[in-house]
Amino acid sequence: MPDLVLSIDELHVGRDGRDGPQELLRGVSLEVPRGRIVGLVGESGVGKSLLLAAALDLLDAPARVTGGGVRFGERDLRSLPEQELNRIRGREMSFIGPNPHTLLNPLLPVGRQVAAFVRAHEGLSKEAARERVLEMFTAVGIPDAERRLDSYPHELSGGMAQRVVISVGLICSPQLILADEPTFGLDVTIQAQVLELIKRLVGSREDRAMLLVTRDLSIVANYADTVNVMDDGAIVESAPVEEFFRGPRTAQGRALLEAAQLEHRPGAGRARAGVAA
Amino acid sequence: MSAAAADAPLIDCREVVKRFPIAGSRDSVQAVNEVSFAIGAGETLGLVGESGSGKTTVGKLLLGLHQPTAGEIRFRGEQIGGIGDRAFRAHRPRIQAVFQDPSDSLDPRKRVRDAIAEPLERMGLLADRAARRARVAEVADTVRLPERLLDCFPHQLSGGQQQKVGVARALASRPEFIVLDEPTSALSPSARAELIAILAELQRELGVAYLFITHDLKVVESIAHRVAVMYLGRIVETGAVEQVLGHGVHPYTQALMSSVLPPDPSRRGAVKVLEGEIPSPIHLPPGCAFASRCPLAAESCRAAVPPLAAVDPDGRAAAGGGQQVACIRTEEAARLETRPSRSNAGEESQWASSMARSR
Repeated sequence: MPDLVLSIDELHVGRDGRDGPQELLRGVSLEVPRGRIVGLVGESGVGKSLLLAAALDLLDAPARVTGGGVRFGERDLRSLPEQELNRIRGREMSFIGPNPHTLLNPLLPVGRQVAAFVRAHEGLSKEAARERVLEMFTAVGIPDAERRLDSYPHELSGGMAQRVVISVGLICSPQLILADEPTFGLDVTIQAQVLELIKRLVGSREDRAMLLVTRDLSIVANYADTVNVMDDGAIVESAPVEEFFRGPRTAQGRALLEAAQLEHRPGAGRARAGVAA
Repeated sequence: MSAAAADAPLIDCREVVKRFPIAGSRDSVQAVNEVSFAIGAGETLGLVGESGSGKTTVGKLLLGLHQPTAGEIRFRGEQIGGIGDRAFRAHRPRIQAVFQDPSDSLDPRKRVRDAIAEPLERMGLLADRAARRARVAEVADTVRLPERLLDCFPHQLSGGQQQKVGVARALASRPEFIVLDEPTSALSPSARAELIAILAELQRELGVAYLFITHDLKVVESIAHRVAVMYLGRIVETGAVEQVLGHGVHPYTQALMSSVLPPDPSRRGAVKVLEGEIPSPIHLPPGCAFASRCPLAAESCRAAVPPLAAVDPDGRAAAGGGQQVACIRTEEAARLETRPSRSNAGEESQWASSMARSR
């Protein structure tokens, strides 16, 4: 078995803009070894989500890969036929995104949505699929899972809906999980619940790995093994998590860490109270 | 202004209750239950709690967007709760708001300049066009919004710039009090840090008071003077920010604080997960609302709603003022393991200096 679950090599993504071709990803290289959680951080709009889309071969036109390669285990994803890719996506390589309410169909009970997904990938019977979903819902900590199968997305809180999205991401027991801001907008209490759950599930299989995309360095500090800092379509710094937090080597890394530490320091933005008690 | 009004706090809420009827049912959503607090001029009160705790409803009550079911809301001693839209209009220039999603609250077809001027027009302030234009430029400068952006449309601005427009709009009428409802939640970390710095500077220079509503404890820790922690429509703990967030006594406050991830891998594993979610506000459990998730819950906790009472950091009953906690087991709670530890030496000194500053 290869040691790298995912390896992205000198990946270029571009598009034709009004003023000629535009480069969106400028030769990105990134490796996700098995058993690891690899963090990818950076400001909004530097290309983090675009990199995930490129890895899944789900770029929206006019953006397209203009060079470099993506290997999933021993397979070169860029040379695989679409049919083969469809088998890999969702089953061997899954995606957990932010904002569960935009990922779920509002018109269908959540249990049926997840069951349809398993059936499409694994050809299970209706009953067997329902059983699998029930098991998964229980595993991700959805209380009263049997009743929740028949709930519509709007009947679930943000934390519960995100658990449904996570169960989609894990139900086919994928080797690689691509997570994009999996806890954005959740309460701190629910964020901690969800991250602990993801960590436990990633660790439950030795050959499993995760690429964790976030703007929140605190999440990376607590859950990732390595940090990759992205800026303007390129990875500018890459280090083991302890090393990075001892002292980032690039200006971009330092700026991100300083913003995170500033937020975590009491009183940084507090004005002297005028007539306050 | 009367003599009584001169002594009154800027905002004074007493025993405020808000219930929302449910169509076709005799039940109601008990969003806010007997909430009392005051905010002084130039002061920031942070209102924290999970989604569904009722904090946004409190903000809307103060803005006159909801009418309280019971209780009093006073602004400079004058009743503003339940007076209706028309009467509230007289206070609107002095009581303003900034909401969470800046792209949602700006009209996509209005240029930034007109968006900032709009509230002035609606309130009938600065009828002279040149004066209004000057005021717009002035507030844009105050929030560090580059002048060249005034002729742009909202979609041409970043999230951080859009939120500065939101703050500029709120500032245009020279308010004394601004309700900030999750103003930084949609922003990237660097834009968030900048907005917090701007808000703090405005407070120093203009003496404006804030009710800062957020689920982000890190943000509240950096900007608020005092904090009120809400759970299921009630304030369960309140006091100075360094007391409540540093030495919180209520088991819920402690659980919130221990869920905050430090940006430091050497402190991994410090996170304690609070299981479960906030219960439904329609059928409130009897007694303490937090009992269903509380590690200390005993039979007596479910008997009656615990009142807010003054305690010292060890959870013992104290003379009035300072920290107040709604829990009948505060001495046990003060010994809970989930209490956030402030062991890091560097942080400790930062702590001390920030306390010294606020005195």
